[in-house]
Amino acid sequence: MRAVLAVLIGKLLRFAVRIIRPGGGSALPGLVANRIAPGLLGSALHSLPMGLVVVSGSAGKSSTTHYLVSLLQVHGLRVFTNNSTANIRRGLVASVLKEASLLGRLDYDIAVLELDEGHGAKMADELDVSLALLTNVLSDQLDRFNDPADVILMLEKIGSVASKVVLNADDKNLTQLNCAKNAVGFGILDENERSGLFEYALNFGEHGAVNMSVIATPQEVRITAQGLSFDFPDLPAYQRINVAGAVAALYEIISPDEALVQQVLSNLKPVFARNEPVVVKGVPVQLKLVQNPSSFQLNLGDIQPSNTPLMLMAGSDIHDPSWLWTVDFSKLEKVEVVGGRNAAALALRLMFAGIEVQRIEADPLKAADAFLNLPGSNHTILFSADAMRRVRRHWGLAK
Amino acid sequence: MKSYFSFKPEHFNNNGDQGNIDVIGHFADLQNVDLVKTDVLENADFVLFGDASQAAMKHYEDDLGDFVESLKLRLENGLPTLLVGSCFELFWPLLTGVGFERSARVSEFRSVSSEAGVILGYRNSTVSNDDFIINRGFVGTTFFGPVLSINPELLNRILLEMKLEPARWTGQEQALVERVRSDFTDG
Repeated sequence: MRAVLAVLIGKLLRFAVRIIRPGGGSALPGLVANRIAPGLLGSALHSLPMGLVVVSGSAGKSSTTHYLVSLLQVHGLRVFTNNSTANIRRGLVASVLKEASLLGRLDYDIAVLELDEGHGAKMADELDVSLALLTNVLSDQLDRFNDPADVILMLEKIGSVASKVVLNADDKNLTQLNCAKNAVGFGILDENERSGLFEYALNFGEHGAVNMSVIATPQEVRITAQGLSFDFPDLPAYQRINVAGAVAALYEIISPDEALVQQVLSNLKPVFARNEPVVVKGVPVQLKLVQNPSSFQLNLGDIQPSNTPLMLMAGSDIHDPSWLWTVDFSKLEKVEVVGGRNAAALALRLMFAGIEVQRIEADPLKAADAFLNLPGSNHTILFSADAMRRVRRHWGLAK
Repeated sequence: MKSYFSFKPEHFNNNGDQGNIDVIGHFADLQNVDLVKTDVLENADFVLFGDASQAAMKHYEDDLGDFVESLKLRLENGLPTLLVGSCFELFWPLLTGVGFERSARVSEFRSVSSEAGVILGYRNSTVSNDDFIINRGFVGTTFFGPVLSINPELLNRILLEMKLEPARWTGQEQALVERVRSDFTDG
C-alpha cells in the first residue's frame, strides 16, 4: 500500500515539477517517494528476472553503464537504467518512478545502474546485486570521501553483496579487495598505455592476481577465454577500458552473439556530455564533462589549439575548488570564458598558471550566452556536472 | 635566489597543496628572484609538507620521522614552513608535545582570525581545536590546497620571513582574490 502511495505521489510530483522546470526535477519526487516507502527501490529492482547489475567506482561509471546497456539491448533485452545525474538514492528512486507501474513493478528484463560509490555502499544491503562492475579508485572528491582508503572500503562493500564481481584489474586498489578473489578482470594490455591512463589512487601494496577476461588494445577487444577479438573504433584509452569493462560484464550475464557485439562496438557514440557534439542556435559546440582531477586532465589532453573559443566552467558541485590546483593547465594559453559558481577560484588557478582569461562570469547562463556569441568555429566547453546541467537546460538540451 | 624544500610533492599534494610553491614562485619572479628546489630541508628558505593519503603517510612514516628535529628548529625560529593536513596532524604533537582534541570529522570552509589576518580555507579533519597555528613564518594548518593564493596577508608574512618583498598583485588579481574570498564566506 505504501509503495502504491509512494509511486502515485511521486509520479504526480514528477509531472508537476517537469511542467515548472522542463528537463529537470528528478530529485524532489525521488526524495518524497523514498520517504513514503523506503523499500520501493529494492523491491522494484528485485522483481527483475535477470537481476541487477551495478556499476560503481570513482570514474567511468556513466560510459561503462552506457556501453553495457547498449550491448544488452542489441540482444533484445529490455534494460532498466538510470542517467548519470541520478546515481544516488533519490535519483534512483526517481528513475524507478518514471518507469514503474503503480504497483512499483518494472517491466524490464534486467537493470544496469550506475551507482555513486558512497551511496552505493550505504544501499548495498538492501539491493539484490547479481553483478557488480567496479571501474577504479581515484584520489577524488576528498572533501566528501576524505581518503581513497574510504572509497576502497565502499567498493569492497558493494562487491561483497554481489553474486559476481567484474573489476578493472589494472587498478591495484581493486585487485586487493576481498571480493577480487573470484572476480573477473578487464584491462589494458600495454604497460605504456596504462601509465597514460588514470592516475589510480596511490597504493604501495602488491598488485593482486585477477583472472583477466577482457583486454582492450588500441585495435581490438580480446575475450581471452573464448579466444575471440572484436575490432575497435578509434577511442582514447580511458574510454577503451570502459568498453572492456562493459564487454567483460556482458559475457558474465549472457552468451552474446558475436555479430551483435561487433555491431555495437563498431558504432560507439559519445556518452551524454562526454565529448558530445551538439548544435546550439546554429553554433556547433563540443561538450566535455569533467568531474575530478583525472577527467579534467584527460579532457585537457584532448584539447588542441583549434578548440577555440574555449570555456571552462566550475559549478557549485565543486565544493572545495582546491583540487583544481592538481590539474596541469600548462598546455592552454588562453581561455575565453571561465564560468560557474566557482569561476573566480578557477580563474585564480589559471592566472597562477600564466593563462590568459578573457572573461569571468559566475552566472552559468550568462557565461553560456556570452560564450555562444564569441566568434570561432570550434566552440568547446569543459564543465563540471552542476554547470553542465544548468547550461544544458538553458540551451534546451536537457534529457 | 631563494630555495624551497617540498617532501615528495608528487604524493603530498592532496587538493593542490603544492600550488603554494607556485604562488611564492610567482611573486618571487616578479621581484626577479628565482625560487629553486632543494633536496636539503635545512638549506631551504621555505619548507612544505603537504597533505597526503593514508597510504602515503604509512609508506613514508619513517622518512617523515627523520625531519622532526629539523622542524623543531624551524618552529622555534619561526622559519617559513607550511605543514598541511595529515602532515600537520602528524608533526604538530611531535614538535610541541601537545596533542589535538578530536571530534567527528568536519568537512567545510572555515575562517579563523590570526596574527596574519583572517585566514580562509577548506578543511576536512577530526581536529577540533586548532585549524591554524602560526609562529612568525611557521604555519601548521588543517586548511589544505593553495591557502597562500587566497590569504594575501599570510602570503606576505611568508614572503617577508623569506626576506622577500610583499606580493605585488595587479588590481585585477586583487579583485579576483576578493571574489574568491567572498565566495568562500558566502558558500
